[in-house]
Amino acid sequence: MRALLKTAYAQDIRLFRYGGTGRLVCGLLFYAALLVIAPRGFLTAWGACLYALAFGIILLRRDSQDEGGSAAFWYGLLGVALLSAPLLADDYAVSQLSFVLTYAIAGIGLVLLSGQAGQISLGHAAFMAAGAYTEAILHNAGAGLLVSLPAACLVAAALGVLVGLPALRMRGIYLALATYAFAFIVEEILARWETVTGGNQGLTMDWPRLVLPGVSYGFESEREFYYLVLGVFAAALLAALNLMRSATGRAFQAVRDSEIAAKSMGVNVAAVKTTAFTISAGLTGIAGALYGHLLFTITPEGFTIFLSINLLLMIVVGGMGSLHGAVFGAIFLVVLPQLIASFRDLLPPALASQSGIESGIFGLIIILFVLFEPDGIYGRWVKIRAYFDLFPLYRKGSFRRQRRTMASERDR
Amino acid sequence: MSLLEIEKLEMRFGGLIALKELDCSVEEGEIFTIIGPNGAGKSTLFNIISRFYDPFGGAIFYRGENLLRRPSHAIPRLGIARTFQNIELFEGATVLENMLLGRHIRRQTGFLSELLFLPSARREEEAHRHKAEEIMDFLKLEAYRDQRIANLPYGVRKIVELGRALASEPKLLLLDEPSSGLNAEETRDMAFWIHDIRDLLGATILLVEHDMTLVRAVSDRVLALNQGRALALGSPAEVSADKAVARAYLGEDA
Ligand SMILES: Nc1ncnc2c1ncn2[C@@H]1O[C@H](COP(=O)(O)OP(=O)(O)OP(=O)(O)O)[C@@H](O)[C@H]1O
Ligand SMILES: [Mg+2]
Repeated sequence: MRALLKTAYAQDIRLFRYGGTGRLVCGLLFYAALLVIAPRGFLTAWGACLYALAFGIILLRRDSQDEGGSAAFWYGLLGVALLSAPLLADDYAVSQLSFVLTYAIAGIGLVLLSGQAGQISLGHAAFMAAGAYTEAILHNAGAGLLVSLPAACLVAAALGVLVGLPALRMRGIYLALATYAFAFIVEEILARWETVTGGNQGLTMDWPRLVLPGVSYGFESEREFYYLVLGVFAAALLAALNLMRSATGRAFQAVRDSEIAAKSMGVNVAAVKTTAFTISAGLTGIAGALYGHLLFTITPEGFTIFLSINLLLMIVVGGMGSLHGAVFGAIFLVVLPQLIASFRDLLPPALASQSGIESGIFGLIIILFVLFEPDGIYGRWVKIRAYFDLFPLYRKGSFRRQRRTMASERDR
Repeated sequence: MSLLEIEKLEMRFGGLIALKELDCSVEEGEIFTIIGPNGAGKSTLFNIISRFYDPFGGAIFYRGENLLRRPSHAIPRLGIARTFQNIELFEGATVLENMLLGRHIRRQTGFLSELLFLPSARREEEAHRHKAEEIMDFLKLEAYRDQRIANLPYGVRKIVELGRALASEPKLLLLDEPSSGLNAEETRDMAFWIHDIRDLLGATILLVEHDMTLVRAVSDRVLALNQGRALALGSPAEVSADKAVARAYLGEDA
């Protein structure tokens, strides 16, 4: 028994406990290369399906007998599906998918900050804005993506350091208010500093360019841009996963659970909080830059408190205990307004014509989730999966509900 | 030179005097126990050493270095680890993760190599896990390895907290009432572990304890405190025979 447990510790740090990361990455890269090289129209929907099948069987299913099944297999299929989406779906669906991935990047930043480090923020719209405006200004000045995207990240991260400062002294509701105040100031600046930000008119931007020494490539359509978003999303996800499985991620968790114990383990609490805000803001800034390109026109109205609340809603609904939550939440955030819109026709006209109905439903959903499913959609998904895995044995108590705390209210 | 030297340490909370001109020194390699009735100031002393409280006056030297000049998060880096009377674990994390957090000060890799999870980061993670696994083995915690603290019974948490402190490979270990809340068998285990920690891991131990059986079983020297003042210092037998100590515990006026 012990020998069995002891071999497990090298597995814990793998991305997939039962292996397959290397094959997953190779397979996806190969497929991506195929998409680039193959002549247009060569890879159709059927080709994608065939590839997915072959990829799955040859590369991944080999170790499906392993205990726990092969998580890599399912993520591999998902990866093929995401890479194939522009072949299968129409422009509108592809752009919606880009929105999902963009929100998910910001969501990853928020999960790190709120779920992992326990700090609340109602100021993330400001980081989105910082990213979007930096990108717009640099892009319109002729800079390529390799300059503007890192710059958007850095500007937002610098603001993150600034917002992290109150976090050193405040927590809970007070921190929420402080970050909100900050976002409000940023919004005002965007509206007033007309020479740079275009005031209430905002700025417009078209698809970005990728400028490398010698080559220059301009994105031209929704579909091409989608691949950029997908790539950035994958990189952000990987970086976040790496952080969470190493000392920095654990230090976040320590600060969330008990500041006093964190200090007594040598964690520099102030530095960790600042780091958490910086990373989260930087990621959100990157999301903001992509968001700007998707919107074409950015105005201060696009980055109000409602965006902050939507971002927070995203991880509450998705589940902030895991990065999966960011993705589930992002899907929710994009799909829900459309669902509401299509259900509107079914409502009695007096109700349907009310303007606040969308925010009302959003609010209601937050409340329901907080009350009944604090672990979010992802938490529910885990439970459903456990139900089938354990089938006749599953009992209601299998998941004891855990107190979910934002940063500990105890100090000393 | 003693490992830890406490000189004229004075602590007040408002009008309450928690420590009054306390002098004592802990030698390298010994198990030094502080006893005293409730409110004697034992935990306060620990919290000053951890730099959670700023004392009113006096000084603490660790290997000749003034501890009071350092912030609390720098203390573990000097080789001082501690546990808390009321258990301060990371509740949302698993036992293993708590152990790994105990090794926080041992991290070598930088932020960037963690972000990319370079081979150096992977090697370091594996080394940390190896060490954590060793400690869980030592304290018989393997069975709880992947459980969250929130789901563990009190007695196990107490031991996890000891493990987390050990994970940092301390030179000086501060244990605040390690046996409180443990049953008789667990307390006996604790006595063995305390000996082993000193003998096998080479740590000096500063202990606060109420259970006199445990105190007698492990201590080299005992200091009795009452209302922030030192009453008696000596071997366990000497201190428990001391009249002033008996009076303090029985609550009679001097
Ligand atoms: N943060 C604080 N604020 C105010 N008073 C405090 C604080 N911490 C400790 N005290 C007081 O200082 C005195 C010493 O407390 P301390 O916790 O050191 O006692 P102790 O010897 O550890 O007792 P016990 O055996 O009950 O743990 C007590 O009277 C306590 O009420
Ligand atoms: Mg105490």
